[in-house]
Amino acid sequence: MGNLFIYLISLGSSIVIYWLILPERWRSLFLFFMSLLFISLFNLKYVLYFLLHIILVYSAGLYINKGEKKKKLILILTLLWLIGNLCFFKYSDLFISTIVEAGFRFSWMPKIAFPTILLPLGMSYIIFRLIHFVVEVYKKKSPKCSFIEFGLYVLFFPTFLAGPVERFQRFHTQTMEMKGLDLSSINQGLYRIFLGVVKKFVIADNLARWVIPALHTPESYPRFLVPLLVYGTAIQVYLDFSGYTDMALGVSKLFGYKIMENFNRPFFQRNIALFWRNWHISVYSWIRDYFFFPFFGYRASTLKIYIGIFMTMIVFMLWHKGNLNFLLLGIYHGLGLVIWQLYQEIKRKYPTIRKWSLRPYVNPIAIFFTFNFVSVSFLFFNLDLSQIYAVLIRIFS
Amino acid sequence: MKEKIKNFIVENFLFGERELKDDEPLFESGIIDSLGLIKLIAFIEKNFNVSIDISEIMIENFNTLNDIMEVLKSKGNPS
Repeated sequence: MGNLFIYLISLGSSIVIYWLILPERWRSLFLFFMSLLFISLFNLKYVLYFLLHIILVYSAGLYINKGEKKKKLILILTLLWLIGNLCFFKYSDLFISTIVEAGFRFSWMPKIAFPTILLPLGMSYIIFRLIHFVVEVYKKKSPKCSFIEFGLYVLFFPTFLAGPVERFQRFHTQTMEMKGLDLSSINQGLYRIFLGVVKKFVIADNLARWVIPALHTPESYPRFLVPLLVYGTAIQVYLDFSGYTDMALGVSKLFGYKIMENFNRPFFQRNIALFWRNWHISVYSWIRDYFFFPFFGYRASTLKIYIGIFMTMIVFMLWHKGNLNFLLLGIYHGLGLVIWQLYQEIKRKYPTIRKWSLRPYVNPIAIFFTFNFVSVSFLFFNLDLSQIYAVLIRIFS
Repeated sequence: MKEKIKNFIVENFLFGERELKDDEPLFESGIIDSLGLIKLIAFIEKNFNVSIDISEIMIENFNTLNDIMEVLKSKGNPS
């Protein structure tokens, strides 16, 4: 509660200084330093670590922009550095613990406890912003910017912790075209923050306290109730994440920034492809643009494209967390998307099936089916495999 | 050229069931997804003897028929 109070006081003071005291040309610098201060509250080392990355990537961008001979090499080295750092922090623990466990089981290694490697907060999102920037510079799609403007984009404190991952061009345009105080923006921002607080702290957190423990003992509940618990998990995850996004977008709005949306009625989509176009939109579109299209989408055979869709979902899920549950989640959704694409091919070949799919009563059935498919997948967030199995057995046996 | 691309989209993604407007957003409206974009690019490259660079494969470049024609114009192809 104390931290929240300090945050609110700091936020309020920042808004007053930003709009009413600072000249326009100082606003970016002020927000940049506010972002550094915000990060330093978690750990000062994070500030130094992220500043190092910003300097590296900005320098690489300058070199690439000049059109020097080795610009492709610099791009590749920069990407390897960024991806390498992300993988090191995200997956080292998993890698080391797997080796130790295997070594212990086969008796060629004692069970040694290694210190845990902590992932710097916000790192997953920051690396994505850095990769996006340097690739766009290479493609000559990125506008020129100062170090402070770039640093502000990377570390913008409202979206630092968990996104959205805004595109640099859109963010930078707003930085350059920032006008004076607009009270309607302040109103919209405050409303969005209020909405986010209600979604996350009032509904999602309380729902989690009931639904998640209940799903650990599904046998204790009447059979008809267990599917409702599964739906409850899906709704809880959505409200938790979208509530955070609402707060991030609301705070951004208080400083005059309109950041991209991350969710667009995902549970009302009629198929799994549309669900993913409307859930965690900023990261899903990022992975599509910087992983799927370059590696699997360029002059690819149908088989390669299907493999690409499958791999994209695995990468997407492992980006969230490097463990077995999220690997299985990636396989689950990858298979769902591939099956959906195959169904599209069947519809093309068989007009009868296509005509049936266009009947009015099919739409609500499709939405319900998609919601069920997706809801089951959210069990992977909080339960292990044996617990998921117990839930499904309770529903279907 | 525009008509040929329009016909391809209508036949393959709208199943010939309705017309397509030149400024209709193909992705936001759900007509085309990522796989559809790849098929569309393959069609354009094969039928119009152009090469779409990997750096040009972005939703923004192919979001409407007008956007597609802009990309092709930039390659020196008349509409």
